[in-house]
Amino acid sequence: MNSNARAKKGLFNRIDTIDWDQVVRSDFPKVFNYFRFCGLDDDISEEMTSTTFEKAWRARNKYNPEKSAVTTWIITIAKHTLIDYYRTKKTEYPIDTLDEKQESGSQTHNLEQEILQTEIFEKLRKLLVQLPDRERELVALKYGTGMTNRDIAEFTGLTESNIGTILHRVVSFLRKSLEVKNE
Amino acid sequence: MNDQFLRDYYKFPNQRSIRKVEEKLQLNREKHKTNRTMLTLKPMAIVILVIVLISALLLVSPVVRAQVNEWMQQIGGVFILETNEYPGMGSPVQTLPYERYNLVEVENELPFALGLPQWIPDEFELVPLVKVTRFDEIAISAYIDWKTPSDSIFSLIIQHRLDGENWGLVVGEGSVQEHLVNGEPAALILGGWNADTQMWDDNLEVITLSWYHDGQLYTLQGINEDVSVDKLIKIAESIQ
Repeated sequence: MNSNARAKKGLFNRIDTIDWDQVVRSDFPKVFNYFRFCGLDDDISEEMTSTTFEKAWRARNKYNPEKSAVTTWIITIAKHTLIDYYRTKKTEYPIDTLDEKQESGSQTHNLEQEILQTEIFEKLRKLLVQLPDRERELVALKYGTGMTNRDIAEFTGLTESNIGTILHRVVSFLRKSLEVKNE
Repeated sequence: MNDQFLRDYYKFPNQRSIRKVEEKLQLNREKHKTNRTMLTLKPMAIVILVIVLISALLLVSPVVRAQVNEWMQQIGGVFILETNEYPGMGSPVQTLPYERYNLVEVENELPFALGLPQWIPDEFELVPLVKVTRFDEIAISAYIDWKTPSDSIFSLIIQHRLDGENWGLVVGEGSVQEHLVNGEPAALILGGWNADTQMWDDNLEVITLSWYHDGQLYTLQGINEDVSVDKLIKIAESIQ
């Protein structure tokens, strides 16, 4: 096949190569948790996840399987969706709303253990929100999407060892901060 | 590294939300599939589509364009590539998503003016909504259709290149003739690409006339049963 034919075939074959049922089932939780680890609450994370998949569907002709895995491509769309979200909202990360959510949530839960867990999660989310952008993104990619350090390295352009070092430092910081807050 | 607290923070989303997205995408796919099926049933539409896709492909890639230019002829500014090789490369027929506007609204949506025919056969009935497709940041096309007595569609397609490039058409060998529209050269194409046989089909009875008017590529397309070459040129010459 000559280069012209390959170029044409490449363009045409990109269309409809995605098994959308499979992709939604496997990647919805990853995208949802990517947003949660970026500091969004559950409702907004769900909404943003739906928006991400709709955007991916509309942009399906642009997906090139030779360049990246579907999951990586969808996480990239999620990242841009998040950037658009904050650009549109013209606001910083919504730290204040977390306290409101926490209060209203506490009223509806009776079990002490659940309240405690909810409080810890809210504190953690507050801490995630306050992290620098790059560190928050690494945490979201690692713990939200379940990417390996190697995948994250390809996604971000950082080296694998650099990612390992940053994550180790951030995780230690988060754990200590939570412990201090819980004392 | 003790990161259990972060792993505990991971939450499985509501199943209902996942199903909602699945259903939405399923609906999109079905809608898309229906559009494709409708196109497959309409040879004219296939021809239009292939022309649009391949035109864009050739002009998107300077490398591809440079390599095929040597086989091209030009009629009135339209590049013509005559080949017996089906341009779809074995892939199924695809549709570009389109929006519909009425004739008044569409003027505000397009970065160019629509020239409309002042003469059209009496028995043709104008479809009140104009379809508009956009191909990335490269091209915008407007489709104005008429229903014909044979229950087919006669179309005027006006295509605008946002990047200022010329259009190119990929057609079967020996299917092009040069005619004049108001003294300017125009390409008359007989037949069309058949998506099923993946060959150019002279017996498809599709007749197409393409020429440049006010800087846009104008294409009239119908079937022999509805329109003769003379009528096609008469319609083209009445466009203002």
